[in-house]
Amino acid sequence: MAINDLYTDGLAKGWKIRDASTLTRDETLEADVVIVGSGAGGGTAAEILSAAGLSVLMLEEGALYTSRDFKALDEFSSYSKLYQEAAGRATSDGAIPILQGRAVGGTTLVNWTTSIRTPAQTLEYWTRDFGLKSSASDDMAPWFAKMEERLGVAPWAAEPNANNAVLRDGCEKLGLHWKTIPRNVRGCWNLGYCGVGCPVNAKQSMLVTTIPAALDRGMTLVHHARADRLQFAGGRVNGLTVHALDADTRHPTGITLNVRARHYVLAGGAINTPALLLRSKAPDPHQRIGQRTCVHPVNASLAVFERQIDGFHGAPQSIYSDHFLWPEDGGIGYKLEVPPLQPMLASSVLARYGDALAQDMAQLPNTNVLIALMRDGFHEQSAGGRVRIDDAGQPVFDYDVHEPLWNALRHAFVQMAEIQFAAGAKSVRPAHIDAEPCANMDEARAAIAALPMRKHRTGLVTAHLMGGCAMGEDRQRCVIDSRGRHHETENLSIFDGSMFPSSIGANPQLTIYGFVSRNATALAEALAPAAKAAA
Amino acid sequence: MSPDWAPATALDRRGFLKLGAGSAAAFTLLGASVQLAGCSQQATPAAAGFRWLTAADLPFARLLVAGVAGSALPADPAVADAALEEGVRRIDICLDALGAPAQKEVRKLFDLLQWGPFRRFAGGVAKPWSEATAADMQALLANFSASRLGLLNGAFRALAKIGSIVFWSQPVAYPLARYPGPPAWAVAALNA
Repeated sequence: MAINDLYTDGLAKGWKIRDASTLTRDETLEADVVIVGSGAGGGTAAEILSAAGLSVLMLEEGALYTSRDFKALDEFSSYSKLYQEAAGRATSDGAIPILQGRAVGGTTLVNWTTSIRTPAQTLEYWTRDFGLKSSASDDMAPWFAKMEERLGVAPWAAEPNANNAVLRDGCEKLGLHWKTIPRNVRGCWNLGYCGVGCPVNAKQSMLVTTIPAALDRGMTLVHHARADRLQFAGGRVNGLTVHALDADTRHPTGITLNVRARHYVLAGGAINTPALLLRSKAPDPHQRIGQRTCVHPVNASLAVFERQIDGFHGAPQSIYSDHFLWPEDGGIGYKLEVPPLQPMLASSVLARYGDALAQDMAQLPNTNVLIALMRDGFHEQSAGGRVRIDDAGQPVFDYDVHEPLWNALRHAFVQMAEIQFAAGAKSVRPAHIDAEPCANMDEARAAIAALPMRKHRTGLVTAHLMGGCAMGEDRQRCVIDSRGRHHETENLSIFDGSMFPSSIGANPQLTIYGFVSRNATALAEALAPAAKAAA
Repeated sequence: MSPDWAPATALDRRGFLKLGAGSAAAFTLLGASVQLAGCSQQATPAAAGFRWLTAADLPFARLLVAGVAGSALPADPAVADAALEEGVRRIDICLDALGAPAQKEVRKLFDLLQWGPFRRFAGGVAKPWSEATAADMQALLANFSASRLGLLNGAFRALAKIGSIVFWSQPVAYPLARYPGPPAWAVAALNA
């Protein structure tokens, strides 16, 4: 069955897509708006700005891969091509591996499709502590609704796979909250390979939705193009230097693109955007750029069942529980979800080797994994990490884990085990170097209480990057205002995960879509009349 | 590079164990020792046919794949050899793709692992990697994993992760994980 390749069709009808690796001389490119990055923020902004009649230039450091490239459903080739640092990105001490996309479509190309609105409590916190304006649940609801409609977001209507059913059934038995996850898919084949690129264009990533719409409106997309430095002068940005990357997207070719635009939008994600600003010596009177970068630190619990789980097949995330997200004592809470379990991804988090790893892997079809996503950035002792740059201007991300966060992680180990046993697990093991399989809850409780909660011994991971350019009217604490405009620079906006003052307490994509859709609409209104007058 | 040729100022076991747990500065310090010892490969070009691994890294990388695969390595020597070779190729792809700051850290670790005193005292492996076995690699991983130093635990996680990724991503390993691969009906439909 042939799947239409949107980009083959699009190029035939005149889409302007350029591969910077093939350029042989320096060029100057001009546009009303340049957007750096093509993920959730960049894609959403591109559609809105180009629909307003503005000329838009989109830059992406990664390559362009389309549905035809994903037919093999092969983990290694996808993780090594579609993710930042070939999926080897991590915090500076290596303690928290980071899964973040790097291709046209950004992380939306490889995420697991979970589309949950920003919790009301989170919006209240941002409003109260950071001076975020006009962003309560009621204010945001129409923007979420608009993007849900645009991207086909709806609760997963099919039966969850057995891996997700463990979370549902365990919560049900224990009387805990659980819910079906809304997913941004249309005509999903329920394969389970969202993380390696959707081969059937069912996932409504930016690659197949907003970017094609913007290309239809005349947007120019240049991939293999890395933003190096913005030039600041007189309270404005007056240029952007871009380096062309070679075919592998690893090394500059020596070709430079000089970009001039009326307005500059940064959407490179919560590591690359702060790094670009720091490299460019952006005005930062209160030293806020790169601060408070949050990750929803994730720990995991592995359970073995008698029955077949086959967590490698079927929609990867379809059930979640927020039972522990907002604890009554006001402490750090967490969201519970499930990851897909193809062998490479599964083996990478086990932190075992040799026969012990082989034995774990032999049980893969009977294994369920639960993950807990810590809501960081809401408490004084959990203020996120910091993105800085090294001497060469490359991003380095420091993230410390303090006692309250360790306590929440330990709490989550216990609750995840409880849910897994309630769902019928025959053994449970926390993802921790010192943990062994436990046969029942008493054993698990004792074992978890004794685990040394330290970096590297406790398995941690993240796929959510939030913060570093906080949004709000409090100029002491925030880099951008409530409309995403840079506080110190009039023609600069930040439309990506770096805008959040803390973590979200939900998978970030819908929060990015909602805020960017609102803020890009405001930007289009501000810029478009002039664009029309000039036309 | 002689593993025993280290200056008198090089860290002995006691000095090494005094280093703070989990401190990035410790790697920097040890990296400096390696540079003093003339073992740094920071500027060494990649081995022929590779993007990032140097000729000296290759025996270590191959043993890492073998040590992490353990009993899952296919019994047929030719099949096992192909899996190891492909594993090393995949390690090279992964490390070449890291950002420059992470590459610097991995380079320090790989250089340290070539340096006799570190390999012996921290890893418990006396032989150079060209003469060592998969069991030696497993001994090193066990020592790093059990260490009270966060720094070595971190090195353990990094090594275990990369060994796991490059072996368990290969189709030759799928049957051992009882992984059938992507649903056959979908693959057939997609490629029809």
